[in-house]
Order: sequence, then structure tokens, then C-alpha cells
Amino acid sequence: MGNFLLEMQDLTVMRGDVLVLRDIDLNIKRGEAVALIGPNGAGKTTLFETVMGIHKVVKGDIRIEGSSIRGMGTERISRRISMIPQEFATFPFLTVLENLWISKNSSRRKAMTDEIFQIFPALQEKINQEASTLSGGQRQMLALGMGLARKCDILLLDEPTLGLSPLMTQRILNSIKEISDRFKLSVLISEQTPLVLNISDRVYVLEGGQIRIQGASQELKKDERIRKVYLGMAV
Amino acid sequence: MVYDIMITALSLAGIYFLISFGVTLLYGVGGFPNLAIGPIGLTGAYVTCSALRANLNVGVCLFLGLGTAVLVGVLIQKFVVEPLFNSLGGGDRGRIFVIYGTFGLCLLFPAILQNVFKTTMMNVRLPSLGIYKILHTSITGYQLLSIGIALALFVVPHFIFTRTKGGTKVRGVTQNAFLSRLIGVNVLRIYTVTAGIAAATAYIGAILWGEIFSLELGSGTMFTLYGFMISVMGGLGSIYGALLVSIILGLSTSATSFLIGGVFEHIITTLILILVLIFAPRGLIPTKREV
Repeated sequence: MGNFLLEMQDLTVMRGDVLVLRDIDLNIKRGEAVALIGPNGAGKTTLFETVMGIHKVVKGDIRIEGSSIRGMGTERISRRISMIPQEFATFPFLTVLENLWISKNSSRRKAMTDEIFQIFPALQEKINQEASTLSGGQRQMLALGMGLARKCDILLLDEPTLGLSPLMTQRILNSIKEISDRFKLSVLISEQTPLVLNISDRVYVLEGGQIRIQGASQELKKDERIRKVYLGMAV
Repeated sequence: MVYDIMITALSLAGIYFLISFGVTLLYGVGGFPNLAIGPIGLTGAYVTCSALRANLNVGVCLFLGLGTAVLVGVLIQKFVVEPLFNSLGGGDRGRIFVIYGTFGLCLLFPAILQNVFKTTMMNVRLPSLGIYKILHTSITGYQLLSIGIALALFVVPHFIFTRTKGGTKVRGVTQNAFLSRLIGVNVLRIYTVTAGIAAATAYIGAILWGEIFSLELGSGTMFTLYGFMISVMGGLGSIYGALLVSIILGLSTSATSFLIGGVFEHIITTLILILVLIFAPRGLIPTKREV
């Protein structure tokens, strides 16, 4: 059990009267990149938000290194887990530097930013520009940088390439891989693009609030059914 | 004459800014249109007046009033504004609910105040701060004080919001409260502190208004009205806009009463409001707000 950094067991979540997640079992080891794929409305975002303590857990448990975080407030959870939401992942009218500054736990304005700028040099040039003036790709880089600045060992990424061009999608995914390897982070990344299989170790397929399929990325990549149904790839 | 107009205009502008500051701050930070903010400040002022009548130490009287205003302000925020705002999931519908609820409070407060304090009029009798001569025009200590506090209320928040991490986090909350929660900001605590500060400034505004003019049961409603008018004209939630409008209204009110007579003050003010709403519907200095 102690093997896993983050584990969810029998996780069941309701929003209003609707059962959104049912009996989810999902584990991530230290330093592992795990993909969560599934169609819109499958419950990916709800799953992430539940881990962050936004929604109430009806049944089951969420644990970090074996100790339960169920019922814990978002403020405390955010010290261990950093989540980058799907849209509006940056503060539009704060500068790049301010965005990074308020994201990190240290109160020094410049600390830690050097490492982030090494990975995303494009951000350094725009350090004093408001986030709303950045391109979609740069804004996503900033969001990743903000996630890194928190110095948590678990990173939750909710569709980080949504709305980006194929080229930028590839670049962002590569950076995520780089970040995860370099800082030994455990990353859970939800996606709709098949490219995510290239950078992840394992995959969970979520549909209708339940885990339907799970396995190693390399094996599921070959699975014709997955390619067709869940990732919308033309065969 | 020109000096008279200018000095009166400045001290009026100071008071207007003080009254609108709470409205502006609460709306700017949390998106909460709290119409009860005027009566909250007035309640504190009434407590101070009663304590003064009982011949308590002036410092104690001010502290009691300030404490009452902050307490009432925070309680209303926690038990009226936030539950109403969240009852339908926030957003514009939540704001409408807050307007209904706090408008109800606004109507309720005069009756409560009358029952508790058994009086309609209150005179703030603070010790005199002297009368000064500036450019051949006399100005009372309290008029000067209102200008000074207004300036401080402009400069200090400007510094906090742009230079400190806490202030930058508050700006973050105004732009995206959900993301703020995710990066570990205690958004509810920020709302509570904001409500306290808004109540405190409303109280200071009420005390200075009472010292320079006088207070009655309806004064709270009037403070709310002026506060919102100024805040809307400045661009809801914009501190810079509120200051600009306070100066404009201070000048227009002062010039009107010196040149054509005090009866026309409200007419001119309303005319300015209408013109601003036609030509700058989002206010003179609109704020940037995402969600």
C-alpha cells in the first residue's frame, strides 16, 4: 500500500442528485505519469476537483502516502497537490511574475523562477506582461510554471492542451514529460488526445463516472478499440 | 470665493470617498453588492454617540463604535451576504439575491436603531480639532482629517495591492476565485477581512459626516445610496474611479451650493450620474474582472 503516493479507493461522488463518480480505484506511484482519458462529461474534472477537496466524497477514500485527506480543506490539500484547472488557469490581469509569485509558498518574489524560466524561456521575455496578453500556448506554459512553483510532489493537469494547435500540443506534452522526469513528480493528466499515451506510463479510461479500462500506455496504444472509441483516432 | 469652493469641495470629496470605499472594496474583491454597508457604519456611529453621551473616554467611545460596526459588518457578510450569494451558485443571480437581502436590511436598520437607541437624531460631539486657515479660508480639523483619511485610504491600498504578496493574492481573488482556492488562498478569510475593513471605513465616514453635518436614522440609507452612486460612476469595484468621482461630486456640490444654492445639489449630482451612465456605462475607470 505504501507503494503509492496518491491513491483513491472506492471513490464515489455526487453533485446535487447526480452520481458523478462511482467506485473509482486509481493509484499513482512516486515519479509516475498517469493519463486519464475519456469523453466529455465522463467525470475527469470532477475527479480532480474531488481530490482537491472541492466536492464532498460520499463513499471511499483518498490518501497521500497512506494517510487520508478525505474531508480536508482545499487550503491544506494544496500544500501537497498542485492542480492546474482546464480553463482560466492563470490570473489574466496579473503579470507573469505576479502569477508565479502568488502561486508559490515562498514569499520571495524571485525565488524558484529561474528553474521555471529554464524550462519555459518564452515566459522570461514576457515577465512583466499581463497573462491576458500571452498566446494560448504561453498561457499554458505559465499555468504549468505556476503548478511547479508550488513545489508539490503531485501535479494534477486537467486537459492542459485543450484548444492548442497540434504543434503546441506536442510541445506542452513534452514539457510535462520533462518536468515530471526532472523533478520526480507524480503527474495525473487528463486528455482527449492520443498523444498523451506517448508521455505517460499508465492509462485509466474513465467513462460514465467509472473506470472502464486500465493498463500500461504502451499496450493500450496498440488496442484498436481504445484508439477508435476513446481517442477519436482515424484508423 | 474660489478657495472656499475648493476647500469645501476637497473635504466633501474626502467624505464621499470614505463612504464609497466600503462599497467599492466589497464589490471589487468579492463581487458582493452589499447595500447594508451604510447602516452598518451608522450603527457604529450611534454606539459612539451614546457612549459619548454617557461621558466615557473619547478613545473608548470610538473603539466601541468601530468594534460594533466591524462585528455587524462581518456577521452580515457571513450570515446574509455569502449564503445568499451562493444559494444559486454565485454569479449575477447570486448578486441579485444579495441586493434583495441587503436592501431588506437597509429598510430594517432604522427601526432597529430607533428601538435600541430610543432617538432619531444623533449629534457626534467629539472634542474640537481646531479651526485652521488655509489660503484665507477657514477649515475645521475634521474637514482636514476627512481629506487626510481619504488620501491614506487611497495610497495605502494602492501600495498593498501592487507591492505585497497578500495584496497581489487579493487581486488574484478578484480575477479568479476558484484558481485562488486551488493555489492555497483562503478565499473566505479574505472576504471576511474585506467585510471588516469595509465596515470600518463606513463607520469612519459616518462619524466624520456626523461631526461635520449630523446623523439621523435615514443617514445609513443615504450613505449606501451615495456609496453606490459613486461606485457605479467610478466603475464598480474601482478604487481609482471612486476617488475621481468623489472629487468631481465634491466640486460640483460645493460649486452648486456656493453659486446657485444648495437646493440644486441633488439635481446636479443626478444629472452627472445620468451623463456618466449614458457616456461611460461601465464607469469612468472600469475594473478588470473575469468571473
